[in-house]
Amino acid sequence: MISIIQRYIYEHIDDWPVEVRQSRHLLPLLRSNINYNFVENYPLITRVIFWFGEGDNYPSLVSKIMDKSIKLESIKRCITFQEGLNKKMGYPLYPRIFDIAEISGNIILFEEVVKKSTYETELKRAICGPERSLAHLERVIRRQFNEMGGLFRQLQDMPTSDKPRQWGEWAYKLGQDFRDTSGFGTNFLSDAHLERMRRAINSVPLPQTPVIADLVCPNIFPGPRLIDNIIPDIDELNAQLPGVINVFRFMVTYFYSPPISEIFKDWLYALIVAITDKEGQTIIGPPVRGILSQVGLEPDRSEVIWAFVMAATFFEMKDKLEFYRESPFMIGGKKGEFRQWTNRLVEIQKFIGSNKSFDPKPVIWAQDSLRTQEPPALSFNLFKKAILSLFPSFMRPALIKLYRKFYPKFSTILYLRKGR
Amino acid sequence: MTGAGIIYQCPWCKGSIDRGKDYWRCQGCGHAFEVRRGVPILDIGVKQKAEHQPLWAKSPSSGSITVDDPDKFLDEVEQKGWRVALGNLWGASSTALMRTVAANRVAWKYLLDINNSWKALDIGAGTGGVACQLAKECSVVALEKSWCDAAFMHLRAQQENLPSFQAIVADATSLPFEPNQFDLATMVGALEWVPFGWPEKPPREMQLQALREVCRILKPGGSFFLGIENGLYFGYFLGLPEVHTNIQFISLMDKKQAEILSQDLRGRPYLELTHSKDEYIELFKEAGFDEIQPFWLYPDYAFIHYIIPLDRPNIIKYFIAEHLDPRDTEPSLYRFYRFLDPSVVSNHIQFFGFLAQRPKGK
Repeated sequence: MISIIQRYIYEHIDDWPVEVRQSRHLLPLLRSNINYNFVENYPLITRVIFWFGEGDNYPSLVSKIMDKSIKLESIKRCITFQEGLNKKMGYPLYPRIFDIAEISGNIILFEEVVKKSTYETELKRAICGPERSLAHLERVIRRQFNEMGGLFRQLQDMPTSDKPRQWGEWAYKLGQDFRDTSGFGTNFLSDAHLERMRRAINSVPLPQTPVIADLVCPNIFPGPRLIDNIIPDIDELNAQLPGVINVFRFMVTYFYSPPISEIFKDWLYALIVAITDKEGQTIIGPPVRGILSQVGLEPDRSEVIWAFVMAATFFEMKDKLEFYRESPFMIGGKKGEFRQWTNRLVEIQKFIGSNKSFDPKPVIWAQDSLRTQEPPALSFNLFKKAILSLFPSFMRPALIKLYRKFYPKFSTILYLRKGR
Repeated sequence: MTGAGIIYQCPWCKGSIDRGKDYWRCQGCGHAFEVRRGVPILDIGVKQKAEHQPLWAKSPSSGSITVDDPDKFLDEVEQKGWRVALGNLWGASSTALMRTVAANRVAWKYLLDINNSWKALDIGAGTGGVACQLAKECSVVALEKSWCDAAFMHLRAQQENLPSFQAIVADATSLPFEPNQFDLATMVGALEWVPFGWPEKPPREMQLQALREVCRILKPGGSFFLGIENGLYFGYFLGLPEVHTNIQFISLMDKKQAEILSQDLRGRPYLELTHSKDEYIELFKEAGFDEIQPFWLYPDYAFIHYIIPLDRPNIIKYFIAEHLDPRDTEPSLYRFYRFLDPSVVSNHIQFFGFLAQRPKGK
């Protein structure tokens, strides 16, 4: 298929605004979405081909092989939406699509390349690369949150409804839908929890503004320049969601995805610490509070902010459950993980209500692993190594594993229980 | 399920074959080949103690089904479905099972222009990770040395409703097909196991023989995809055990030294031979292929995320800078990749993919 796409490019490249050193000799680098492995027949999956001119150090063009189930009409609707948003923003928020072609039964998009590292790549380098350091990570997080805050602020300034609306009912229904989809009972996520979330969200009426379809932040292009942003129901999504969900979906996905989740294993606790970190004791406090201020939300109203975090997390979990629904290999693990997250959301909601403060120490300890310049998977101080040496060597790997699995959660639970 | 339009020949005398229900019979030498559970057994390799459990199936990295009672297992596959039965055997979320279903295992198909008129042969098909997915797009013959694996694939293809699929038991060094028939042949994680059928013969010779056979059965201009480990992988220099033998440094050694080490540690010869990039290319050339393109299959050939052309240092450099994930790689290996010249890196990556063509004029 690549050779047919290549031929198509050679025939059309002169009509596209693409700079290539030798436009008749393009070479492909193929990227497949790894989520595709265990999720057959999901319509949003794409394969991406980066095209390089001879000797070029950066790709000149990207083509995306869309899944066969995505119809041309849906794609055209998405493109209209993206172009409209680009026009309103005054700069290409979404990469420009030069052409669409149907090749061997698949729809292929031809897009421009954004010559920047992705958010995910920047984070990986700052956390796991040879150049890792706490200061580096702090810089990266601050800049990325600042960039996204600017974007969301611009989107907030484009209301699509006349007057602000209360979004509590929407969030309440989302929570109920998630509970039904996941099969988690009311004992686990009660109506009282949802009601509390509803009331908190209703206390801040917000206008409807454009929604960014796919906010899985650590992705191929920086910010919203994503590979899988073509979705069949873009209009429906825009009609149903409050624009402010952009901010919370961004924060939630940012924190639960690796590599950030490898530093802050109890990511929901890290997020609430960041939201309540007025004094900037952690590296994540100032960026998180900053992005909330940028879109006009008051970070100190932690109950309201947490209600939006809950809604965004329900949205993400419901989305993932749909995604992995037909994957017998993934669905069990995902449900287990989401049960933990839901539990944590509710625990933190209760704790906020008790007016006690969140201790930042577990988050500070977690981020301090980067001071040693060891990647998170290896960080282990000398004291712990000395204790380990008391055990026979064959037991040590299992002990380290147990420690890494339970320590972050255990320590934050202690803080929540003691109410320090 | 017939493997539409494929002409078989006797692996012993190359005579034509009459296909019966229970036996396939050679018109030339009269040899009868049993058809067991819908799978013809056309193997001429060394008979193992138990035909359904060849020697390499004992290796943890082979991905082959190892059961005491294959018929009982296959009954379970029939009754409960292949996913459930394999899940019960290997564990519902085991890597081996995921390898069997991973859609990205055939991500390299985009390098080709496959259509439904194509005939493909998957050699060393295992449990059908590649063959059953290819069969959604073209006719496929899945060749396995292990009868149990082949019978499993036969049932899997029935359950997945793949009409143009035929599983057979045969040896890669003597393919039971008339020449010039296939548009595509694949060997993913299989070439290194070929010498196990012939433990007394030089392993490289048997690998070369298998490649010659592939070249013979391909149509002129037909494509061959090989997915295989690199014998000169960086990790092996750092002391990671070689994946097939679980022995440190063995693939880096002189062949005589490696043989002695294998005998010393395991009491059996070193057959699961892997090579360097240039040695593989040399093998291809000797077997009669041309237009050989090497690729880096990252992170591995079962769960392909990226396919990177290895003959372009600029693309390797871009991939390492922008896409290589430090979390997937040992920190020391990641540093090698980041700081070494891409042309050096291209010789020491872990998994190769080679796309080669049978010359059009031959």
